Amino acid sequence: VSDLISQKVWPESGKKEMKDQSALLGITWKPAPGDGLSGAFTSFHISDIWLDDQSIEHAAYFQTQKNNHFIRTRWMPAYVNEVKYGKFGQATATLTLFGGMDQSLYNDFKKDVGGQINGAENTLKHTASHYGPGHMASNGKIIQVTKQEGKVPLGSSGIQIDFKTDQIIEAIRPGRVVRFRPDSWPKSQIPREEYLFNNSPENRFPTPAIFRKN
Amino acid sequence: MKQFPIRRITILFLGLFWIACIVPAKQEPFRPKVGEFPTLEKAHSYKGELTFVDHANRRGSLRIDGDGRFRFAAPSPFALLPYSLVRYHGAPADLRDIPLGTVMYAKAYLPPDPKISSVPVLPLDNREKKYGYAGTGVAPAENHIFLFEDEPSYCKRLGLVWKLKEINLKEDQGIITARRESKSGNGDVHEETFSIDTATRFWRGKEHLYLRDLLEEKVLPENGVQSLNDQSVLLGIFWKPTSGGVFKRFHISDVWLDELAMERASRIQNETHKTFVKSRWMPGWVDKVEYGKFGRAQVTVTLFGGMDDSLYADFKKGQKAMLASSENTLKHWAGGTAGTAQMASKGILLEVSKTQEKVPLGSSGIQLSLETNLVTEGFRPGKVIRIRPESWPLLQVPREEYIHHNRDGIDIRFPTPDIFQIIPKN
Repeated sequence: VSDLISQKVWPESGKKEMKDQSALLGITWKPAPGDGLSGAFTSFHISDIWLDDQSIEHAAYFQTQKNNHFIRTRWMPAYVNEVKYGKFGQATATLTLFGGMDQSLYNDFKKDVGGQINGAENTLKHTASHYGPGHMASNGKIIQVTKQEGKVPLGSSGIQIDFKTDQIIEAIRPGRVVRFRPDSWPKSQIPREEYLFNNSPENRFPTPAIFRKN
Repeated sequence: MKQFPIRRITILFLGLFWIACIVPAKQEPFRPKVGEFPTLEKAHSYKGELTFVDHANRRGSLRIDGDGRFRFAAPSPFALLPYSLVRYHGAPADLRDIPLGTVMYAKAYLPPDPKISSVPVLPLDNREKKYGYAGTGVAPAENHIFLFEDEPSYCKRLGLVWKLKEINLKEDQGIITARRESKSGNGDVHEETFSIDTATRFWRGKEHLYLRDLLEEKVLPENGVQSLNDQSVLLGIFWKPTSGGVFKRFHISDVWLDELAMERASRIQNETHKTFVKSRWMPGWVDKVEYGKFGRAQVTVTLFGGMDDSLYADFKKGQKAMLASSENTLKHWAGGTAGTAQMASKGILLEVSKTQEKVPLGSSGIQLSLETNLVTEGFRPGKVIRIRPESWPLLQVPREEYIHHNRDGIDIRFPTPDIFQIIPKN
């Protein structure tokens, strides 16, 4: 605000007609004056104003880059549509990748590209060992990539992949959530609280017993 | 006759004296006392990645960088002392202002009163305990933090600066080698390599740039190694997974390329915090209470420190003010439907004084005396209060930030797994 005042775009105090200027707003909540009963409590607060397309693109670029890095290190979530079992632990799993992410991530899923599939919770937590999710995941190859025609439901990317692996594991069942890493994504370690290993409900959801009796 | 080995004894004595001089004394765990601001020298120091925040209860978890493998270190719970100083971007902050992943420096003590600690109380020697591959030092008993700072705040306090040595870029990510040293050129020099990527933000004056902008300007090469000629900057440090089996390589989230850029970041954070304190009231503690008749009393309080001067300047002699008792989490009491103001005591500021002596960290050095005709149980020497000068707006705070006289219980504030509904079998 101080910059806009120094540029004389806005007055130091008092009202100014804004002439229906188009903008995008970031909305947060902060305490507002009032008795809490008359509605003043829900007077929302503008945290950000994007005055032009370039500025919101700039902000969106940053968030997209953050999410791209996040997904590449935590892997693409998907659910299993179908599993065709072969012999000696071989199987081909058909997956639908979850949607809403940057196209560059989906572009990395190509036919004949190697990859890894890993069981996940509905929280999208990996199963992992001391060597990270890559250690528990099943290796294989993408043998088919298909893009759904027509209207794609929200939540889905509309992209299905057929993944052939020689180590089909329990978590890869129709309707179950998995995470997938094409070989071009880095094989990184994730922090302890982001994977399941030797778990017990008490460790994950501690009771007040963790507070020592004095 | 056998001679007394005076030379050997002298050498042994000098040797022991030399060892005593070079080996730092082991810091004993320190428990702050009620009503006293502790000295920073007695604090246990550590740094780590902020992994969880419960801002309403002023506590969270930190993955502490111990002597083992960082990635195996489980987040360690911490609580903020009521007078703790949280600094972000070189300005005062609340926990809610700090993004998860930020690397923070902590100066901490044992819980002042273990019975009411809001995080688990650990054995006194827990900083020596080895936690498997995570090593030692990852879960110290000193989990009540006094000073909590991000990298630029830490550097500004100690007069440090980062000098960028070299960048090695490959496509959309890279490694920067930098060293941290005193601005004066004296003291220790610390060299480290960090990752950067397309989400790293570069701040230059009023500009907000990304890696791609610096590539377009040819300030940085698209690929390969380039010397950065010891450019002085301040860095925001984060943790992100890195490839190649390197877990503990920290990440640069922000680079402030000049003083104007850093000053602007500090200013925004300072303004955020000022609005926050005005709406939640200034914290302090009670020094003494002089009781009058019929519920009247004169309450003397010391305001906690580390905030913007303009907030303290709002406390003026002769002005009306409201005083409310508070928990050590700085939670207000509230009653009825009118919020925190309903339970607060009104009064007049009879005295506002600033000490001329050295002010300990945690204190503002400002003492106020408020005369009220409604002294309540919360106003006792050593107890934490919050105070609002009349010039500050009278606002409602959200439900999770106050304790209600009849709507709260221990199970509501710290729920057990019983909150998970048991699904009946059909």
